[in-house]
Amino acid sequence: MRNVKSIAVAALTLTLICAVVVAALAGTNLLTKGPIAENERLATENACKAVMPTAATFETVDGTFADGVVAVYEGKDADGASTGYVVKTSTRGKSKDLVLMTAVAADGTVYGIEVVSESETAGYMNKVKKGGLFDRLVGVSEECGAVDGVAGATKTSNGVKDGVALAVDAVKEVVANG
Amino acid sequence: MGKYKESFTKGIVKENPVLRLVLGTCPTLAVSTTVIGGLGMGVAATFVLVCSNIVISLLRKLIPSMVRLPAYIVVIAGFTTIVQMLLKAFVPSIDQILGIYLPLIVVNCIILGRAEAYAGKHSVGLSALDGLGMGVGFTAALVLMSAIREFFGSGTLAGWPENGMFPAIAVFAAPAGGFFVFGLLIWATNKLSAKFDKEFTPKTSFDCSACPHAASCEKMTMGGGCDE
Repeated sequence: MRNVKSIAVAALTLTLICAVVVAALAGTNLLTKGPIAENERLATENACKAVMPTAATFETVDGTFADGVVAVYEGKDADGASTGYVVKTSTRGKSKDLVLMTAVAADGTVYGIEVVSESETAGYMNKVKKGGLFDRLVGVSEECGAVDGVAGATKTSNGVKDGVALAVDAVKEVVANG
Repeated sequence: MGKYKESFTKGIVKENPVLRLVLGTCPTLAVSTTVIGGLGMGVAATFVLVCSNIVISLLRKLIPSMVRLPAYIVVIAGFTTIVQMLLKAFVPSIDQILGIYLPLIVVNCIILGRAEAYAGKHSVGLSALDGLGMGVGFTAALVLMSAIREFFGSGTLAGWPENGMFPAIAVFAAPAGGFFVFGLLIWATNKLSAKFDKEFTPKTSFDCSACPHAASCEKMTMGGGCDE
């Protein structure tokens, strides 16, 4: 009987401690929820603005997209007219999680690419940038895969091209569906 | 007064968690590539360490020993998550540098080690000071190590100057360089301790005395270790 009691006391104490910790976490969450959401919004907006400086605000476009498309934003200028789309993609180069922001006009032409984060072998993304792949991709509206990559960094180049191709397809889909 | 001073100062040099007890080496090696990252990690871990030491010391008579480890981990995880939410909300740049190592403070062996070996047996005041001393020692070791690694590995200190003072020696910033610097720092600490601390006895064999459970281990007090 004594054993049952000690187990019950232990279980009860642990449950109580957990309950108090949960309450403390819930309180902190209430306090920090607003600022965290605001930070995330600002981070997204800044990343969007980097590739599309003409837009003043960005709205998330709802819908289901191909694997690798993280989000699609529509840029609006101060008068509320559409300035095109920014697509966030996550593809695989040599390593996974090659995250890009690509600005695409409504007709499907690429006009800006920024790397948000990547975990390629150090130096390879620089090689791709210096090799001019990003410049070659700007202005493309179809067959992104046919653009020349950078020799010696083929897998990273392919990851970038895949991301841009996904972005172009996603925007074409959004425009086609109105 | 003496024991209060002792419980604070011992963590800084004599029982420095990183350089003498060799605890918490995972975050030490991982986030010591930049001074800002090292400092952020140190301060975040110190906060969790002091808070969890206080709470665990307060609850030490209420927690049945059968469930003390899960109880400690719940308390530590709670504080770690609070720190993470606060950093995300108010200092997102530090949150980005620390990345995955911030939630991993939960399993930082310095914190669980101090909870088990110290806070579970001592009064609130002593435990808070112990946590603070260990935290300051941890932070100091991290800042020292990250300053060396950042200076040689990127040619900067706390991000200044932007383009580096000289061509970087990349190996210092790489994981292997972390081990080099870590080893040299432990060597230097032992050398300096031998010179200035009269009670210091150099380690000639490796026993259980550095184990976080040493103070509470029954086998240790009988003169043995885990092998016996």
